[in-house]
Amino acid sequence: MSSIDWTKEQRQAPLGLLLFAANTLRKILKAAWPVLLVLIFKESEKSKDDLYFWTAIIGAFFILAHSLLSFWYFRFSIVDNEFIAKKGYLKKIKLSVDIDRIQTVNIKQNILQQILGLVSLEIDTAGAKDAEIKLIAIKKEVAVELEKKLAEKSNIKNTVESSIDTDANNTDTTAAKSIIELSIEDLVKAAISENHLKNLLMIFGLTYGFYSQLSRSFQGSIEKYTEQGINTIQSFSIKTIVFIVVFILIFAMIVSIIKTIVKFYNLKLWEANNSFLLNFGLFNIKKINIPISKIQIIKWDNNPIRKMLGFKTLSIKQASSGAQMKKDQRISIPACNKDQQIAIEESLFGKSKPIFSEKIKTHPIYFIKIFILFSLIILSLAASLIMSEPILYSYQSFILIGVLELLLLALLLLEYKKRSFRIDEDILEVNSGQIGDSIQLIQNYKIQSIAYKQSIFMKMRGTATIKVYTAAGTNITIPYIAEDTAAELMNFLLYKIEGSEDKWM
Amino acid sequence: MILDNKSVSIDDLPKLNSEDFIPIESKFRTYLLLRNSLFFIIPFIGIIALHIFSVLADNIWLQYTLYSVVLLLWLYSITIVILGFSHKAYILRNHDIVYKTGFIFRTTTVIPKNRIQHLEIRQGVLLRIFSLSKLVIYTAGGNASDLSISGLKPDVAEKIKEEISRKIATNE
Repeated sequence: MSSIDWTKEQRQAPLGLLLFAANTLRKILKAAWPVLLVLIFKESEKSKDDLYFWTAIIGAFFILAHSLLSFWYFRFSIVDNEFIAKKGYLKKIKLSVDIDRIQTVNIKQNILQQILGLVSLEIDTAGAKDAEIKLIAIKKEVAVELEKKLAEKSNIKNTVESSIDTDANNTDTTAAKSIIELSIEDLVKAAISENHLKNLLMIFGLTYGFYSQLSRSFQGSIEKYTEQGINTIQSFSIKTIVFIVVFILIFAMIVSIIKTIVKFYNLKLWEANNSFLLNFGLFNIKKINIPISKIQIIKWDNNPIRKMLGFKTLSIKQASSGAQMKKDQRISIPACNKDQQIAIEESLFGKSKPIFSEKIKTHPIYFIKIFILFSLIILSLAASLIMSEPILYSYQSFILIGVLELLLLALLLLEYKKRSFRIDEDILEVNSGQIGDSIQLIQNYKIQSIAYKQSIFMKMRGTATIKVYTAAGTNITIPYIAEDTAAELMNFLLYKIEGSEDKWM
Repeated sequence: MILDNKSVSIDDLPKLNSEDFIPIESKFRTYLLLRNSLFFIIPFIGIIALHIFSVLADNIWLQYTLYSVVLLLWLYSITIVILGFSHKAYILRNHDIVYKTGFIFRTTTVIPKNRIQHLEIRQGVLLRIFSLSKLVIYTAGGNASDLSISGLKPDVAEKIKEEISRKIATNE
């Protein structure tokens, strides 16, 4: 392959200027859209047209200048064992990353980049300081070569030929083992069985945010419409309300189908050279390379509908040293069937049939504790509401509280019943869930530290909680198990960690 | 390289007996009492100021409540320190370091030496006056799993740090 002299400073592809400009424009629009909306919809006064014209011209000039300068001053190079990126014209920033510390190199392509034939390359590192370098506009070939160069310099050696071909359809899978390929049908199934209640709440949240932003820009006039809206709602019959609820649910379903398809279109997961390679997306094509050794926790989730359809959702958590878990570090695959689950676990753990111990359940006192805790929260909230609004002091309120308590009882009973763990020579499995089930799996030797927690009340009853800390930045809690079991579990895990010479990442 | 507990069976591992633990320096108790009391001086001064400038003159009950809340919190923190101090202890074992703390909510944290990222010795102004140090042990498990053992003699902290650093170096 043609070799690029990486020790010399490189700039991104000239066409990338457009991307820089688009990014700047996007940032401006994101910050200033309410103002712009007001300007557009306000009756225009002839005398001000000129002003707007010149503002637009000057704005465009600044965007152009800013993109040009940002583009020009963004340079990257590889010197010795460091990847160096310099950027900024007013405030100059030099980022340097020890190549050995690079965690993953991801290549992504959004729709604009697809048109321009460019890709972005993200370099994720482990380090106390969250260093992440993002090249947003480089040619595919350059990205491929850079990825290769970084892989060959770092001692990971996990980047492989097959990960390099950005065109998913031509992927050379001879050396690779395909594990998952999701069809549109799978995606629709996954979307339909999503938790729509949660999505609805999110939509309400977003609408509310949108509304408050709008009402700030338009003052008065919006409130008038809302008031009208509320009056109309009050005049609705029960039939209409049921209809509206059903309609909203269907709407939420359609939204999530579209969202899922756009995000996970043509998802492929395959294994090659000790890495999982993941490819998905309709407009934003993402290619992710997950070295198997860096996976810390995997989590399987299902809910009653998914159980019926026979699949689970997979989340993969990789090592991250930053205090905050980055969004990208949690990778999820919306649908996996039983065989795929087995295949993934086999690749990850290096064995197909773990020999687990008996499932060990949580002590009943755990249920009593969480029930009392949540009841206290509900009751004190209810009490303070009733005290502040005497109208609420009615038997309906008490029925409502009773119903809430019953719901809580049912949910927490499920939560208690589903809490358990079991252990294999190499793997710890922790089960939880309320309506759905979730299973977390971690390899014993990848645990970072362990805490044995016991309050004096727990000591009286002979129970303890084990908390296991992982390099994925999250911890796994095994609450309220018998003291002896907890001590035994801790000793066993410590024995496994301390006797292991394997790299945990 | 071969780890020496590779062939050891799990039953031979040292069990965590409380008599093996090394207690924290007893002057650290005085330090904690002083530090917590200093912490409560600020709100106390605030309330006294409110009293003197009679901001709350028309609500004498609120004033008394504030006094008693701060006083009770202060008493609570002192009680916890006095009762819980004997539970603060650590032990450096062949392959890990163990630290236990807490009175009502007791936690025993174990960090295997081969999972330690780096170590730090810190000494704040107040700690320096007591000529004590704080050893902070970082793992890749995130902030929540970082362990800090405060109230060590500076030379002890240094010794533990060296001991663990040596172990980390030979592991790599």
